[in-house]
Amino acid sequence: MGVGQLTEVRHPLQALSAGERVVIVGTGETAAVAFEYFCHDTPHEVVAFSAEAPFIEADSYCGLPVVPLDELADAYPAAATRVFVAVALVQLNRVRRRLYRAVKAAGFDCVSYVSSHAVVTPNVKIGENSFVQEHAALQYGARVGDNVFVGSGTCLGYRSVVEDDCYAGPHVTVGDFCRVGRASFLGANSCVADGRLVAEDCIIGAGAVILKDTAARQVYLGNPARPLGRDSFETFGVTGG
Amino acid sequence: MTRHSEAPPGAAQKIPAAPAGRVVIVGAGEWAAVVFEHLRHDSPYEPVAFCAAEEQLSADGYRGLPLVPLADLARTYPPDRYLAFVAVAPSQLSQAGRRLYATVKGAGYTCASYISSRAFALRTARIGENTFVHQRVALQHGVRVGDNVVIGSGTCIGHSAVVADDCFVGPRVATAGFCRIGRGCLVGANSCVDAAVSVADGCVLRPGTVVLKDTRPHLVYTGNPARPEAQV
Repeated sequence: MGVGQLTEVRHPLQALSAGERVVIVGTGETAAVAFEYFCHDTPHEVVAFSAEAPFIEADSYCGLPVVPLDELADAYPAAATRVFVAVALVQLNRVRRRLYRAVKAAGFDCVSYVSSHAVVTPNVKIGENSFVQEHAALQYGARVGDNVFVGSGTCLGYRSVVEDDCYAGPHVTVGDFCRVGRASFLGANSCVADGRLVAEDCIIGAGAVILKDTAARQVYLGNPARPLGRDSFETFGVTGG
Repeated sequence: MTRHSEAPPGAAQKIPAAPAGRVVIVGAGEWAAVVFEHLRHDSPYEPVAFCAAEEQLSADGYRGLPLVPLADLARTYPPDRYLAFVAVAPSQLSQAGRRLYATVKGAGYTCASYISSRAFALRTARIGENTFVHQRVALQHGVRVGDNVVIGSGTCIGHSAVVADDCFVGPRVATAGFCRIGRGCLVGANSCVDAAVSVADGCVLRPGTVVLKDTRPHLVYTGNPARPEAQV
């Protein structure tokens, strides 16, 4: 496992296990990031990358083969392989969601990653294909859905819920008893006050401080955060909802 | 640039395996004392002496070690046998510290760098010489940190971000991916820099500044969102 002090309380996802053979879906920066974490801080073995055929630019990535997504189940049978979909917040998390659903439909189970340098209370629930980086703190009773990214140093307070397909950057603070709705984006160092609701499909800009519940599909900035009156789908180029 | 770990993919990450060596700390103030404590207790280096300019020498020793004049450094602790660490106040990084670092490099010294054993650095991160990384810092995938940089406790440098030479980055700063912090910047505590944003050379970010757009060089920024105050 990684450097430094191992925390005393371990989450099941931080436990040592025999490891899986993992294919990373994606061939961009986020895929390279995931590759580094899997190689150095998990017992998993990354065996290949995969992408949709039109987006494949080379036969290999990070020294491993790149397999077209529609050939993945033939090349790496779902019974013996796990998948991690490594795409950032493109189109307000729509691309990651679409690829996640595609690999699930192809019969794959997805792995989640929790850094050995995160502090995660064992009763925290974390779904599939979620990624929790170093120095994150997921406190008692917090819940993280499927396909969620939790950045470095981000804190999720007691009993807070982050729903599917969300993306939280580094040093985000989600207070106690909060809810972050599906596919929302929380920028670096943003903060959600205790008990507040971030509705679905919101963009919370870097450093924004949410003191009141937000409305869906809105973009918020500032301290205290104010809506810019911009539609988040337009801002992030979401097509097709 | 120092490579943190030569471990092959799949191997456990190790504490950066810098070669052990004896280090002269150039400086004899508070920051030199901080560096001394960290090197002594949490690094493969052995601090053996302090060094300061003649006019700043008020005693023969500091923290129980010899204190030698800068003019005598190369004679008493020759650069082929000793490393140096230039430790002057972060507020002077852009001026006195940079000159002193240049002087020490000009005398032929290799400067040590320090990464806390309680920092997190991926093997693809690189740091330069005379750079000091505090506890609970995260240096993510592909990060580049230059020479003569201080990174404060709990700061996250996001993937593929660059921190250029002579910067002081305070504690609990968050930079998202693909940022650039230009040369000689002072980044105040709890500031944040949005993804792919560049902070130009010589900027000062007051504590808590939220930088959402590229800055112009040599300005002081403050607030959320960041606004320039005045010429530096």
